[in-house]
Amino acid sequence: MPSGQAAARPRSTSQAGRRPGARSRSDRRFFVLAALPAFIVVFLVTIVPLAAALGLSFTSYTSANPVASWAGLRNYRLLFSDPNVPTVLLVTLLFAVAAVVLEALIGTILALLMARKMRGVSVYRVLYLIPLMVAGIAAAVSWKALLDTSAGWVNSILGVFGIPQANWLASPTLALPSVVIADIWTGAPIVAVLVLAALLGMPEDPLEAARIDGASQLQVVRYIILPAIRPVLGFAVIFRTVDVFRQFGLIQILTGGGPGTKTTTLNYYIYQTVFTYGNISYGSTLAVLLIVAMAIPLGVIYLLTRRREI
Amino acid sequence: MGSVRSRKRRVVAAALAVACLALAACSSSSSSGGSTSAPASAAAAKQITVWTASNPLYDYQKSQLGLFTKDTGISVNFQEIPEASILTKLQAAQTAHDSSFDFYEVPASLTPQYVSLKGAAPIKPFLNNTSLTPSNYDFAGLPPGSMTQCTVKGTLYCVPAFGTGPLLYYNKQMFAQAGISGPPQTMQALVTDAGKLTNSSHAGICLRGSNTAPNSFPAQMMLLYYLNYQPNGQGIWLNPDYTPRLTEPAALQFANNYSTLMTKDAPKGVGAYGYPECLAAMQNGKVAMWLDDSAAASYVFNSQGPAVAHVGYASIPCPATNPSKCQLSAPWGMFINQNSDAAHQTAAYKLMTFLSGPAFQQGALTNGKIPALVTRPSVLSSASSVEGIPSDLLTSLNYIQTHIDPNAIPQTSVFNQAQQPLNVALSDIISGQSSPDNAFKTANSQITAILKQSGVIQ
Repeated sequence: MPSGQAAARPRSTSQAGRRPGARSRSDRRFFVLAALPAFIVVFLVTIVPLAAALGLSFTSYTSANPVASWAGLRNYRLLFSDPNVPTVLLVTLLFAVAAVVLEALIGTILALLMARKMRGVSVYRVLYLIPLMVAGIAAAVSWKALLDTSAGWVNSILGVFGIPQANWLASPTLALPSVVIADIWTGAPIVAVLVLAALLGMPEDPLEAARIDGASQLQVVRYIILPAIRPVLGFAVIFRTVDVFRQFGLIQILTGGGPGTKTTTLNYYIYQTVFTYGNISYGSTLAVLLIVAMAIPLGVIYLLTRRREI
Repeated sequence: MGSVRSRKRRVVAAALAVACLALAACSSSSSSGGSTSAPASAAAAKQITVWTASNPLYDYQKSQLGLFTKDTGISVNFQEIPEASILTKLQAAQTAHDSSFDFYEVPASLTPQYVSLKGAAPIKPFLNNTSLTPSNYDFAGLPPGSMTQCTVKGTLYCVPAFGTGPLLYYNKQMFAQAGISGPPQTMQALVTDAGKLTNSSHAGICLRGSNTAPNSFPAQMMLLYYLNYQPNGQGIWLNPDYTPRLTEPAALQFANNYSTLMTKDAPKGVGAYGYPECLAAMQNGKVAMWLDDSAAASYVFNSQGPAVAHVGYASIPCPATNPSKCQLSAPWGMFINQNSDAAHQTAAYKLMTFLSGPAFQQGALTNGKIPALVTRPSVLSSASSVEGIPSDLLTSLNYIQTHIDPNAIPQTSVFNQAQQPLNVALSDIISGQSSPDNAFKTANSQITAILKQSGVIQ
């Protein structure tokens, strides 16, 4: 149609009076309404329990007396007088730092190895990612069998080489490192998968250019690859930090929080308080503490990652 | 027109969302039922649902349900739930007043909890109904000591599902090799013998050491031999006013003996041992003695372990400080769900009388070879020997049932929480993180704080 004639053509009555962008606004409203049921469900299963826990933390509510009577700040005062709280916070911090740092390191190294172009690399990828396919509880039971002091495979192999057999799960010095090692077995492949995806999506040109300029492999990794994958690595660290704070099955199966309270993290202590001792209101208070305790390191990690991007 | 149409769409979408929520709310509230009037006089339902733990003890119950159905016409949906999760599941179900099950089996020590949640129906109205209770049921034949944990403020809410107590499993061959003529007759002798029996090929004794086992269970069995019995005591190590007794000389002596046993005479790594590890160690000849619940007996004599043929069974006689009530019995109880309707409660009661009646227990002993299911001393004492069951085991089980401490577990749910410092203290003793005296003194003060905070101690 020759130009100029389109403007002269009368507009249809359905379009009469409609402003530019009005159709997309109507579509946006429809999309919002269509998403509303899903939003309501997510709201109900996340915000509502959170609000309920916060509310319960100001009450006295136990399994033996399931009536939520107002208790004010009593549970929060108990947080400061409970001798277990500093211990479980310290255990949680040690566990989180050790597990996340080692998982990030080992996962990144694994990803760098799996990103290489070599014959049979797909086989290695499958092998290294097998832990991801194993259910958490199954992994925990397997590790318990491996680390058993008298009948475990680890001590049996150590015995063959004449190395002293350690009391992995019942020693106050070795119990937490044992839990960390078991957590790394599943956590490092998760980091590796995320970093590998970032590596495979990287453009080849900067790497080629660096190699042509004579950079060593270590320099390529340090000055090109790591800065490029930093956002993904930051996300992986945040993801693993949340998971480590939430870790329960491994501790329950391997050590039960013992010996003493040497492997009792805050999350495990919440479980004990609510389900073993039936003190639901105090458990809710501990859950609030857990959220605060998680928010601090996550905020720090996020800020560190963000600042570097700027 | 366009804006009217889009407004209509908004209204329809919002109405759909509200309808979904209302439907969800209605379906969740429809699960609550409950009988409020005269359940003991209603006709029985034709099918009931049982929740119990997946445990070989209950496999025998399941095997006999065909007989129950034949006798009563009531079919049973028998659901076995992993032992590690049944309590959590039941807690949630009781809180929600769930009526999808009618009969359940859980630790009798949790009776106060389920009563407060209105999830346990009183038993007496059914017992008093002569048309429901079989004439040969013999309620008086159930040991009063084991019924104490089923009773809250004078009202009975359950009957014991099995009868157990502390039993000493010992390897006769190892005893003979060490020059010991028979099982120890006192706790001090137990400690001495454990030292003599420990060598490079096997440990002297196994006790559960893990926090989650819990390690306090066998420890409390032993404490009853150290602390003097108090008729009005509130539990093994609590005074009548609920103040803990862990700093008494007798308790500290126990702590030191416990330390000797667990650091010198127990298997390496015992701090992580639970019931299965000690059982395996006994079956395989890795330990000379194992003190634990008598419910494990059928797993020992019915198993194929290399040391099984040498295992003997003994009860350590009660000490002078506690001559007739030194046995800690913490059975599971059979409960009727108060949230079920009257017909289902009646049917559940019929199952309760079947499973706790003399005929079933006689069958469990002679045919099932599961003495743990026998709660009636009359059944145990009438069988001086049963083929396939060691006679010393029968003698020991009879001793347990006739010497139960009725006050061992106080009727307060905060006792569970109060045990946590004891679990930690025992764990610290085993791992050497604390001396026995310091560990018990710390536990004592923490327990006092917990009981004060909950209002149990004024």
